[in-house]
Order: sequence, then structure tokens, then C-alpha cells
Amino acid sequence: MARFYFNLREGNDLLLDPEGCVLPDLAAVADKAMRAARAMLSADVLEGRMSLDMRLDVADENGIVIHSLAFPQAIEIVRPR
Amino acid sequence: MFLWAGEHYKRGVKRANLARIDARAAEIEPPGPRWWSMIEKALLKLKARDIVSEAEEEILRGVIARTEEVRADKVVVRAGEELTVSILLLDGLMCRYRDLRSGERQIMELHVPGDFLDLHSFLLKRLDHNVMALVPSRIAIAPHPRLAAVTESHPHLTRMLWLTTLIDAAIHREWLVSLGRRSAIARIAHFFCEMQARLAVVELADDTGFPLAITQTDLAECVGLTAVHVNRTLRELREAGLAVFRGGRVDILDYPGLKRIAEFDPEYLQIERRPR
Repeated sequence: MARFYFNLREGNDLLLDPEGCVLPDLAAVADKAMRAARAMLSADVLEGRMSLDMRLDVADENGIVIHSLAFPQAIEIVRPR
Repeated sequence: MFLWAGEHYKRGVKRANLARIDARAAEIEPPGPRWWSMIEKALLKLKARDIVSEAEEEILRGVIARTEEVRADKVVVRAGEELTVSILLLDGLMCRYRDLRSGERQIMELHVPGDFLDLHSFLLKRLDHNVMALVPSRIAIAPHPRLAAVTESHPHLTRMLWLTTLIDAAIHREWLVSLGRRSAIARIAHFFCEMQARLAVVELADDTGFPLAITQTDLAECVGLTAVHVNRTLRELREAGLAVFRGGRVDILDYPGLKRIAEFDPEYLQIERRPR
């Protein structure tokens, strides 16, 4: 178990996770990041705007980024043929 | 002062205690003078809805068998277990919640001092949800036979207790609207407005804000969002000059604005003194 901080980047903007989250392993980190990205994207779509210029940089207690998820990787986009 | 609290991932993982509050081991308190003011918050809650006579106050005090201190994260009622007592929250914060296999948790109601956490267990005997402490809390135990005696001898006090379970139901309906229909910012704004109104009744909030020693993850589990989304939405509320949630406190910067974005109408909380 360790504490991880899910910091959100949008363009040049960085929103720090103030309290972090205790998770068992990297798989749990990746899973949580994926669910967070999808949840936020879907909420944004309901508002009529979806920014794919976002990324979750998950840092450990030393501030080292140990997992990164760019939002386009969180969804499959099917374009009209 | 950001790392003030921990969080759980799944049930059973201990949360770091909130540093501001002194955590004590569970202990049973002997009867004494403190009992006199013990149910003060519950009385404030009832007296905001109707007149409570001195005789009724005494009867309500007599319903309490003992008090206990509970640590943060302690589950005080488990879904499905047979219950013989109901629990009144004297101090702290507790919640009704359900966990899913995925580790996701939904909090259905946040309880403030003066709330009967599981008065419904008096008749239901088994609950369909758990109840746990979010911070170190103090509870009073009301054995069901004593509650039964109240219903047989004091019809008005019985109706007042019934009313509190109806208010819980109204809160659930309002949360249902939030979870089903409100935007992220409106959900959190509504939650803050409700907490302000309920805590003000028990003299724990004023127009400028209130202490709320929960984590962003707890908040996320109340409003059905992820913690990351809550963090971003809290920034929106800050930048819009509406409210700031930081360091275990909610500061309300623009109450009319917060109410407007939440479409908050406190009518459902029945904060009105009238014959019941």
C-alpha cells in the first residue's frame, strides 16, 4: 500500500491532487486513472465540450510521476467513414 | 496543510485519523453530569421543527442507555445484522453507505450531530446499508425497548422521531435528484448548501461556512463523482468565487450564487416550527 497523487494536466495548467489516495499496486493506479479519465470525459460531453488535451500524471509520495494517462488513450474514437 | 487525511481504497483499509481531532479508543462512559447536555444537538434538531416540552426532553434523555467514542473508519452498523439498539450521533460525522464489488462506494447520507443514524432500525431490525464514522465521533445508544416505551406513552414525541426519519427520506430524494440529474458543480454546490443548512440547525455552521472534516474522496462518494473530478470541480467553485473546501472547512463566499447554481430550496429539510 502506498499513497498516490492524481495530478491533472490540461495544456499548461496543472491541478494538484491535495490528498492523494492509498492503493495496493500499479495496476490499481492504472485502473483508477482510467476510470477517472472516462468519468470526467463523459461528464464533459454532457456539457457539450470534450477536451482531449488532458493528462493524469500520477505521482508517488516523492513527487515522481509513476503513471501517466493521456485522455485520448482512455477512449476509442470511431469516426464516420 | 493539504495532507490532512487519508482515505480508504476498499472496506477494511484503515484511514489515517484526522490530525485535528483527538482519536480515542472506544470506551463506555459512566452516567454523570455530561449526560445532561448530551442530547443537546438532537434537541436543537427537534426544536427547529416543533416545540418540545421539558417532560419530553426528560423522556428523550431516558432513552439513552450509554455513550461510546468511535474512531474514524469504524463501522457501527453492518447491513443485514440483527439490531436491538438505535444510535444517536452526538459529535462527529458519520455516513450511510454501500460498497460495490469493484471497490466503489456510494454514501447515501452524511450524518451530523443530532441525527439518529439508524432510527429506522427500530422497526426494520436489519438495515440494507452500513453506517460508519468518517471522523472520530461520539454516539449515544438507544435500546429498542426504550424507544418502544416512548411510542406507547408519548405520542407527540413519537411523531417528532417519526418526522426525523421522514426528513432522512426527503434527504435521500434530494440526493437522488443530484446523482441522477445534476451537473458535477451543482451536485457539490447542493451538498454544501444542505450541509450548511443542517449544521446551522445544530449551531455548527453560520452564513460564512462550517467545519467539514472529510476528505475529497468522502465528498466524491457522496456526490457520485471520482476524486479527480471533485478536485477539478472544487477549483471551478473557487474560481467562480462561490465556495472553498480546504483544510476540513467549507467557506461560503457567495451564498446566493451557490444556492442558484445548486437550485437549492431548503423546504425539504422542514426547518419550520409548527405543530406536528
